[in-house]
Amino acid sequence: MAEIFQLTAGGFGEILDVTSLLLILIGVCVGILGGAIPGISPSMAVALLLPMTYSMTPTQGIIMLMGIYIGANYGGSITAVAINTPGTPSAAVTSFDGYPLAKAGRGGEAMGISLWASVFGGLIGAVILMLCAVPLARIALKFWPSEYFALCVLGLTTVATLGGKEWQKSLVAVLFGLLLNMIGLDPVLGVKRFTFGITALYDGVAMVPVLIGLFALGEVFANLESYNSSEKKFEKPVYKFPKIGYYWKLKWSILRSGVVGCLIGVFPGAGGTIASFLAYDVEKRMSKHPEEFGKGAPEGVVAAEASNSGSVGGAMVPLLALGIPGSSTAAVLIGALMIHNLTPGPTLFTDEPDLVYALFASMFFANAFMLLVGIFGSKLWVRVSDIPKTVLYPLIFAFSILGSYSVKKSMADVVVCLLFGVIGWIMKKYRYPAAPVVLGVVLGRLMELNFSQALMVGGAASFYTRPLTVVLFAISIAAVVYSIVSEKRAVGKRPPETEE
Amino acid sequence: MKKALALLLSLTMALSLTGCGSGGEGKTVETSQAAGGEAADTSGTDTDWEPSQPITIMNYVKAGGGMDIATRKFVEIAAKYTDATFVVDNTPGAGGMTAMEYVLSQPADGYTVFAGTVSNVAYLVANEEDLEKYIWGFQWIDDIMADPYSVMVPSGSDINTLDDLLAECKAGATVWCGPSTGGAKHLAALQLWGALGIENATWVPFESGPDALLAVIGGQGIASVGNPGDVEGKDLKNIVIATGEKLEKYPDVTNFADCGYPDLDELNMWRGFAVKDGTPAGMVTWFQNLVDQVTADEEWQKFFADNSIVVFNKTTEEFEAIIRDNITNYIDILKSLELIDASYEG
Repeated sequence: MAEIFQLTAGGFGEILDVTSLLLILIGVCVGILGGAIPGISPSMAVALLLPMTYSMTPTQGIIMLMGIYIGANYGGSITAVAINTPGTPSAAVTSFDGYPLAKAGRGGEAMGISLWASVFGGLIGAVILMLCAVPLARIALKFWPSEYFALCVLGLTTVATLGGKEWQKSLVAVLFGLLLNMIGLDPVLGVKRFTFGITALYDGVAMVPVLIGLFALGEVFANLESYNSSEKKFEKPVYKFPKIGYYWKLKWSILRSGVVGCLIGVFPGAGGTIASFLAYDVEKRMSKHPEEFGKGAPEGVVAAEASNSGSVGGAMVPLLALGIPGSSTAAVLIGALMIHNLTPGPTLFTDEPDLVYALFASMFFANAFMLLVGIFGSKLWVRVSDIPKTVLYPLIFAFSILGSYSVKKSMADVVVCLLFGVIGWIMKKYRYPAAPVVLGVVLGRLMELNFSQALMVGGAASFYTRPLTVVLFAISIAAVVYSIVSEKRAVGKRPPETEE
Repeated sequence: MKKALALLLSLTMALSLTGCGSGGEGKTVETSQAAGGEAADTSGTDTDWEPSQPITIMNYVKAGGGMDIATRKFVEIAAKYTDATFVVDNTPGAGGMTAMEYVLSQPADGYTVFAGTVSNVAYLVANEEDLEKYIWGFQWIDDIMADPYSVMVPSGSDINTLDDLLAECKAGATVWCGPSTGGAKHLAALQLWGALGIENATWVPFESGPDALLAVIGGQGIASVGNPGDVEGKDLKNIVIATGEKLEKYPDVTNFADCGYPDLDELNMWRGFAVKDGTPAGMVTWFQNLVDQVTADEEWQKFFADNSIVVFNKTTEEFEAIIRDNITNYIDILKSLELIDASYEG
């Protein structure tokens, strides 16, 4: 342990010069901007600046790209909070409570929570990565398809908390999301399903246009329908960030979510989005006021942001300990290492220890810079609510279209975005939650693929003979039973309606 | 009134921005046509074409993928020999068809180059796509490298040679982990199994190559088919590499010829460049000359030698002959396993 701290101190020393710090700062700024633009994923943001690293030393290049990765994961939350347009898939969960907070005139609070949770979630991820990379990588190796499938089932149980009282509608929404995964080539045999000869549908329905459509356009359409020209801006908007003491009250939520995010991030394929849903579920279950979730609960924003920033550290675990990328952004980092003639994997610790520990150190600096940049930047963003709705909604509409197009330069994605905008609007009208649709889309493909793989690798027995799988299934069952029992207890304690 | 105004404004902005998106393409068409015109004017001979605008190299893989790394390295080294500006772009999706369609939608002026691999051919055949459009709608101008296939197992495995592996396969059913069904590596595995007489083997497809390697390291499968460099930094070892000459980096690993299967040493993953059919001959010559310079560059050769990849420059005639062979092989294999329709001819 002492050796790790000594090496990390060396890592700090390695990058404690103006050039390196400036590169991390540039990375963070670019990342935040990229993440905030719907359609630019963290991996795209990192890839965009990859050519700049050719002329740098490997350490300089990698720490700048790491800055982008960290910044982009946070950047997605800015538009999620300000205009209900998640810049990245994992920021969809941020919008569940961040946007209602902003809409209620508490934009400063929402932005502040999302920023501080991101920063500390990221730091938790970095510490876990630094201290536990090797043991965590061993756990990742024990995760076979049956465990991934069980993890997805556990993810699905979060529907119980997402739906609240209207769980039936939530169930319909998640089934709709799962069914959407039927579109495209089946992940095992490659059979075309509901593609109608359209190439754009071969990979199924793209996630980003669905998200933008459901959340951003759905909101715009709903607002257009109920638009009232005499209505002024939000009620007494509060732009000021809360004082530090306010965040201290959220410390346990940040810690729990950061750890959940980092642990889920370790498993390639799972990623920040699933981590956000699971952390959100954990926080709602642990909350004393779960009914506020989805309506502007600070813990909801914390869960989403701390977990998705924590997942960055997690995604670096398989990269450094096994040479396997833990996320699509980590895959770009692997490419960057290879371009610099470095071999990703455990040999990096022995061949290039300075680089590895400089990378760890850069994660701390990047999060610190993110706090500074975020404090100034968010103060501007939060004033989005000052923009007249007659200008803001067309802008959101336009950026939604552009964001969807830019994912694959495909008009088909624009059509998907518009279609899901209408679906989002209808769902809003009839009070169907959109969040379970996202959950269904995120988990559906993973579930199908891992279910088939589990059968191919170990047969049906793998679902009940592998201890880790059984434990995950048991937690899923307990989560559902707990929801039912606690709801029944709450109903029992509730005074009869006639007495109200 | 304001409601209507808002609606009108939003539609106008969306259309104008979408216009910008495709208008970006539209604008490129105009400039490119002008440039193409210039090129046509000045390309009386095949050698006087010079780019007058940036050349986009379109990757079908995500940033960080094998072809993406090769393309970015190419652009980096090409800067030593030309002032031309290159833009490396990535449009993944549908096994490369999305990127191919994008390139095919651009003018045939040489300003959009497709960076492809043998995986594109495998995917198109496995999905019974129109090869006239997706393969022969391009002119395949430079095959720049051959990344040999290899069979890899976990480092701690008792399997050290091809004979060990064959013995294990004869003993019972085996699971092999790899990327998508019908992909180039799966088809390479099918060719291996056929030639080596391996039966009862199951190919478990994973979301990506690295995910499959993680599964092999974790003990989910007995082996994987990949490229020799895939083992670097991972808990994996190559037991046989499909290469005529043994690789310097793996002197102790046998090739298939050593094991009595010389034909299997032909299995490799090519990576190369293509332009839309009808591109001016001057551009093709200019690009091929540039590739000649890059492939002869010491830095280029060292980079790929370090990654156990053989580099060269095989131009149109030779390259397209290789692709025709790939197509014939893939159709035969997939038909024999009844994975594609018997009437499919491409």
